[in-house]
Amino acid sequence: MNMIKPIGIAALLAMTALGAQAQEVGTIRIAEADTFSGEDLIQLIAYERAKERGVEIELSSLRADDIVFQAVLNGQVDMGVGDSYEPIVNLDAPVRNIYQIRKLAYIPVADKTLYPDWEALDGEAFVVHARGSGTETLAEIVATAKGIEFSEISYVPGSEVRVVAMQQGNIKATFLDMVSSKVLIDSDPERFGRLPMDGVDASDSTLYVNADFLAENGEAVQILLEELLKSAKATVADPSWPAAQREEFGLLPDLSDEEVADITPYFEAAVAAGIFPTDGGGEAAATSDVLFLAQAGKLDPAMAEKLEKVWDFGPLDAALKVADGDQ
Amino acid sequence: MSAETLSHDPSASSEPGMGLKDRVGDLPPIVWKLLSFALFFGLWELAGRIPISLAFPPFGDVVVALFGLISSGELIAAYGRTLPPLLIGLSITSVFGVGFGVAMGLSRTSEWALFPPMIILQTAPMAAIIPLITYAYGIGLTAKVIAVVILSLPMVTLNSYNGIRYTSDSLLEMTRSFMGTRRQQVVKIMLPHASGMIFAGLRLGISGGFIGIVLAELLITPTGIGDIISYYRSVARYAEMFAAIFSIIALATLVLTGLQVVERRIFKALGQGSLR
Repeated sequence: MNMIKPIGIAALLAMTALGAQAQEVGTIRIAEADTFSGEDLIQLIAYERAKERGVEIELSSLRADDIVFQAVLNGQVDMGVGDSYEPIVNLDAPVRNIYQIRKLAYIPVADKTLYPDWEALDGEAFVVHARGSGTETLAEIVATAKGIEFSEISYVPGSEVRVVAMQQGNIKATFLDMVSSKVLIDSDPERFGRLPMDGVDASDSTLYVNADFLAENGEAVQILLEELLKSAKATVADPSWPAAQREEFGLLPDLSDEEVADITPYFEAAVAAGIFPTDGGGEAAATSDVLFLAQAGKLDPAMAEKLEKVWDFGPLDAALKVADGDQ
Repeated sequence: MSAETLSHDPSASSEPGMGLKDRVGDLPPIVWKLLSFALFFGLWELAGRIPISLAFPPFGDVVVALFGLISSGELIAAYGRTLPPLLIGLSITSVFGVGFGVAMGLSRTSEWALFPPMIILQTAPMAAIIPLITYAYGIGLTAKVIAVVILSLPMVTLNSYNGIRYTSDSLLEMTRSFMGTRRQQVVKIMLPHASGMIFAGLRLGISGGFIGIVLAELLITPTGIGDIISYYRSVARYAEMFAAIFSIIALATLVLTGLQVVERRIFKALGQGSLR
């Protein structure tokens, strides 16, 4: 009885010491423009695992990509998830991409009864996600490649919203994410169909960081990147891993049964499409992104020779060394 | 102190003994206005040069961006899309807003029927309600016209109503004393008395209309000036974004100033300067 008490106290002290040690690594405030869903599980799991290693993660969901960038630029958050190339270049901002979260994977769909091919869309309206979004860039590139010109590009945010708008006939042709395109085409295969498009290698979203924060919190950032790499690798090896980890960590408890059931099919399709890089993107992703944006006239192609202006490869290289060493 | 020293002689304004306060007080109003603008834009330029944020461009850059947007035709094309719903909305507001307000002031039934919805429209959080318009009216011209009307109508209606409703009792008493008919009471007493409030309501309504169209173009679907603002914001070209915002503020100010000039002329013609 007398022994138990000192052991308990010692254990408590040890846990407190460990906790205090974990606290020392730091806190990272991360913002994203979307509400978190099952599709974000790779990140959410990585955040949880980083927390276990002493990196406190504070997540916030903001209204739009540009507001996320503003928050990072002004130091209200430390990292952002989204698209930051043009803002970084246009402002010469002290913000750098450090990790490719996922690649762009949008499928052009149309009401085939009206537009059986791209040529039929010449002079017609096309709908994309938002001004300056990846889908808008895709639309501009495909129009140039096919030698057509849209009469108007309009904006309806959210693939799920565009599915409903397509079904109601409010819009006739758009880009949808993989899951939404399948939902739409399955709802009426006679009416809706894919339009042919060559594969595009570009980022859908990257993780970017305030350079001042990175300089002062290298260790915390590296731990986060290591965990992101591990989560991506585990998902690519087994697409059912995110769903299992969700249960283990109790993530996204408010998802409906239907949404939970969609998690693994989504990751199976996404992994098959090669959306999740297992090397964090790095220089290859940066080059592809710059060339992709240059193709749409949004960036100077010469920027591909000055990737250090938009990316900092140091943290990812360091994380890759650790992650590769763990295997 | 003699009476001579107290008198103010404009011709003596340059005399060596005259105080700085007196000299400044002699400046024409336009100089004050220009000085006010110069101070505001000077502070803006300074804040942009410091800079207080990378996202806050100096005023000079905004002016350059504004000329760039005008010369490329982008701004003119944008206004080509922004102005139609704004003008349609403001026309509806001018007719129905004044009409509803006068009806509410003259008739208890109209007052009971229209006062509650107008108060609800005035107090409702419009940024939250505008996206709901799309459920009923989609994302086209109609939705934007409705956004303009919702933001402007209550102000015009309630001001017109107050102008009519609170016509001086002594003036109404006077009409009755002179055996004036109801029509004469409305046309010759109430409407002229309310005209100041009606114009004040129209000015507020126009301001509301501008807010409505920008909110609609930012929240419903980016078109016109809202498209320029959201696009340049998304790619962090803040000088262009500020230029677009500056242009819509300048346009609203010009329209309001124009209305004020019209209002003054009307009152002058009617000899009602004292009511203002």
